[in-house]
Amino acid sequence: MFIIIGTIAKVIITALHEEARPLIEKFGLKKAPHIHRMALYSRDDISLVVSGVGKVKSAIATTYALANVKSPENTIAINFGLCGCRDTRRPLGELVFINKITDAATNRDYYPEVILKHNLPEASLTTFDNHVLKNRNLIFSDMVDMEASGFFTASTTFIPLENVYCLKLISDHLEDLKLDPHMVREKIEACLDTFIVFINSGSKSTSRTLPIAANDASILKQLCEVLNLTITQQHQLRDHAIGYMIRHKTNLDFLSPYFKQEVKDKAERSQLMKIISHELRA
Amino acid sequence: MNYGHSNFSHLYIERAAEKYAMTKHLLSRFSKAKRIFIDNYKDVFARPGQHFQTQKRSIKLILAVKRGHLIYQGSNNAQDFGYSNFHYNANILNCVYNCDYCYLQGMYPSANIVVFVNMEDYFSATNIAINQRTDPDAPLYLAISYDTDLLALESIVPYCREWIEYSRKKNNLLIEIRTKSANYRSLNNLSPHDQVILAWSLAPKTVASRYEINTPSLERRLESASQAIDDGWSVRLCFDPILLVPNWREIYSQFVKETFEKIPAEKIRDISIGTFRMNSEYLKRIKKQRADSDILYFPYETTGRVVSPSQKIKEEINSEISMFLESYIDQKKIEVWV
Ligand code: SF4
Repeated sequence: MFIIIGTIAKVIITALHEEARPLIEKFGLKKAPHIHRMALYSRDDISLVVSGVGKVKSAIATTYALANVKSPENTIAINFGLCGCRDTRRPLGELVFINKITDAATNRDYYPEVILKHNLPEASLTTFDNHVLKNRNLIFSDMVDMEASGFFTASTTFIPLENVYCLKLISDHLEDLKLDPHMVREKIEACLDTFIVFINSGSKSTSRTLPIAANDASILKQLCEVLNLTITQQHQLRDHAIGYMIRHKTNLDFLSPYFKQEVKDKAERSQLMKIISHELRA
Repeated sequence: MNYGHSNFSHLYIERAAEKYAMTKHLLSRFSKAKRIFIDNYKDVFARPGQHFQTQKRSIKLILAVKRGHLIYQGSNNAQDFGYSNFHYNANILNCVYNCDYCYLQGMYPSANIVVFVNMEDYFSATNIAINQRTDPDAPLYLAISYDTDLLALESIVPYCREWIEYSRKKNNLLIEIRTKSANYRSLNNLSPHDQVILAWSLAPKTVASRYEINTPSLERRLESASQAIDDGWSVRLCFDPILLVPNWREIYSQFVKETFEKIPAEKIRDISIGTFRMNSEYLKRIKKQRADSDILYFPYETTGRVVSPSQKIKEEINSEISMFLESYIDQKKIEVWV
């Protein structure tokens, strides 16, 4: 039994309820009760939004889900859904990692990072504004969908590039098929374990560390206020502080008493700044 | 545990680059790598939101055709060794190593490596530059391992070899190949000639292991340099940048001693020394991304657009290191970056 590991927020965006349902059940997600305009489901650190079909709806749903995340560095976003495949040799139901997204309307290309190690086959994909059927000759990428470019532009606005993934499941070879919910469920269920393995690796590999921890940043902020520092002085203080923390492998807690110190005028402030800078350069 | 792909797991290939021999060579060298076709290398290399140090975990190769300028006049932050016609080029952008003090982190938006495959165009541009050099009494001095470490990549992209063969036939050209690699063996079947300087950047063991990530040890670099000297190449040693680490005097004096235990001082062409310096905008950009190296947070001074230790510190370091060196090598052979 595979389980999803914690601490990193995972945001999944699907276009259709049929795509979302197996995930909602597998992860035990609950619909957010007071939100009516958006189909948002969540549990612990996993959330899922059903966007509706099309890149604009996908971008709106992604923005809704990511605009206020507490820690962008510790959030991954995945666009999961069905796609059409030009190459009839690729099997239906295959889950693929998208390494290039082209927006058909603007002809712009987007390149998700491919740093995370995974075992999925990779493919390029074009996002169209309408259903693509027989016009294969106009398609230069391996896959087609209607959401990825909207999802990608929106998510990379809010979270780091390398935390954004697009995983697509091949549902057809561009035939004019009506979506069969049973078939969709079957295919998604068959790839769920692979999907979970992928999310878990993504969660472990999130990369960017904040240049400075939140607590130390808050200490520096308060000091800047107490000392009424100019922007240049603030940068100097920050540099000294980071250099100090690296050299001494410690935090800035020792600076806390300086907030309480009463400073009456400019002379006292610069005196205090000198003392602090001196300590930080040790 | 490493959750990243290995280096060069993916090749981004400009469509215009497909027909070049180097592209074909790299496609067969990395036959298992995933191939992603692109219109222009900048679409990948300069896309917004990239994180240099994250990309260093799994570097990709981007194969492209260089358009526009192929050769540049030397920058103010580089030593010209008194050569009036100092130029550099950029056949490859970025480096397999990851030195904390490397300005490429601030200069480029990406850590992925761009290989420009249209070598013949570089040679043509160099021919023109030779003919049009401002000082006809001096050769065109061309640094070819400038925004990269070319020799470190030689077993993958054999450009040093091509430049060495090209320069062999040229009068009025002197090329410098600067490296931290221990990869001399990939050149050792070429016969030496005096239009090439092989320059090894060296650092004390403790400095290299802490600040020059993924580079070969001092010992291996010295072995490489020493073999090149034995084979008859003109070798330069670069003690640059000298970093202001605690106990720097003892560390660097010991390092100079170690170097000349392995390298016959009289056979060295020259030595360059210099302290840390970087374009202030680059340093600012680097600091936005990382706070894990004290060398980036030293209280430097800014003069014009260059950050470096204060003049006083620089003078002190340069004069002490020169003094250590002068017990092995003629002062005239020491080029100090001030
Ligand atoms: S070897 Fe040179 S180019 Fe490469 S990372 Fe180090 S400083 Fe940068």
